[in-house]
Amino acid sequence: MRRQSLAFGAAALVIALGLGLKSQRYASQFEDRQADDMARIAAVAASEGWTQVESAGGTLPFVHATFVKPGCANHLRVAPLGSSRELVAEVELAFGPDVMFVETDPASRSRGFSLSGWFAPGRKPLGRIAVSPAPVEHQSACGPPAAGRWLGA
Amino acid sequence: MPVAYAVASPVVERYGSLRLLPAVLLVGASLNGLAVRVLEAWQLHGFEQPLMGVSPFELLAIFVGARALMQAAPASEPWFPVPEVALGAAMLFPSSTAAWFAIAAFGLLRARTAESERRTGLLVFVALAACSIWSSVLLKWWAGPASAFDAHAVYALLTRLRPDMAVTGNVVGVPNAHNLVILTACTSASGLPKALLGIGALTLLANGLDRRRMGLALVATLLLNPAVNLLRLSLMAWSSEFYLLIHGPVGANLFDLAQTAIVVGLGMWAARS
Repeated sequence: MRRQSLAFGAAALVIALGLGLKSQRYASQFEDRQADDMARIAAVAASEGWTQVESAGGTLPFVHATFVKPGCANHLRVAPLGSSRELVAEVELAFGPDVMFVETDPASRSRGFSLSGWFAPGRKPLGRIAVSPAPVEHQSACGPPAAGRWLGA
Repeated sequence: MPVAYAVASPVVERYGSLRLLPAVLLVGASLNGLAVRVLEAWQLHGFEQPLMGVSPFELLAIFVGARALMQAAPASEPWFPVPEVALGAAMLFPSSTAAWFAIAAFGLLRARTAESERRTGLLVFVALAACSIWSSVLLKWWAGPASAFDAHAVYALLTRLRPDMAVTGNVVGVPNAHNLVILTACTSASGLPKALLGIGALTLLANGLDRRRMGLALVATLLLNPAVNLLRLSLMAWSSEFYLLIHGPVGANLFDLAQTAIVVGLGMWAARS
């Protein structure tokens, strides 16, 4: 009986401790990673003339940050998707949502896999976070960026 | 008239008290394996997802596996069960993936010498762990080809209706108008193992294994599950309006319902022997 109580008590303790450790690690990682990623995106966006504004929702429910650019009809919206290890960027256009996603896959990233192979030649993402350019015929609204240019972090 | 007598078995007396320990440990380790996914779902979606990112088939597999282990006859175990202690220690590692690997290793190790219900229960937990390892580790290695495969399948389907469709890698749609980028989690290869797990768990739950029907049900799932997913992806690639509808709560719930209906229907059919 004593052995039984000891074994089940230890099992319950280990299970609870495991759950606690995982939630603690996840919480710290999630916040750190998101803050780090968002700081990088904001820095690059600022260098490209974008300003972060209060998020006003969007086509996706989990938009994390919204950027605007003077004279640009497009809003740059950045959202984490699925986990702290993946980020998705979305460009929402004023005339209607044109959603382009870029997945930064952690496994691919850790192996140095280039995402450029997933897209048309000349549309190579510059870094971990890439935002698709607006459709060519509407790019003049934001000033003429170089063809196939990506916002990278 | 047959009469039942309580018989004091030395094995039960000595080891029977710990009969439930593997079931408790495996259920606990599974909770540890699901922990990060539940936290993510809660962080991103709050209570919008009632099961917090956990598939109902995973919950069913946990129930069926634990039930089989609890119904199993007591097995003689050494005084210090090393695999059980190792499984417990692995749970303390702050990684859900580590918990799944530990479950798979423990299940395979114990199943080598186990029989009947005990073996079944252990193998159900191995299958459960394999599903999670597939989607969280292995599929990432083939993320590019897996998502590109679905994109090309969607293209092949839609180009018959719309000649302006184009596909590049994992991006499919109408250039400069509406494009769908297929992510790893949206691929047919991601959801398929859980559907197969659901068929197996349902069949075991009904206690009636008909091998021929089970085989047919698994083949049907292999065909129907990706077909429904490709239909969903095709609708999302059709236009931004369709994307919003299908990707939103209404479309997502309808899709989940369709996938569940397929698995439950085929599982029940396979179990009816």
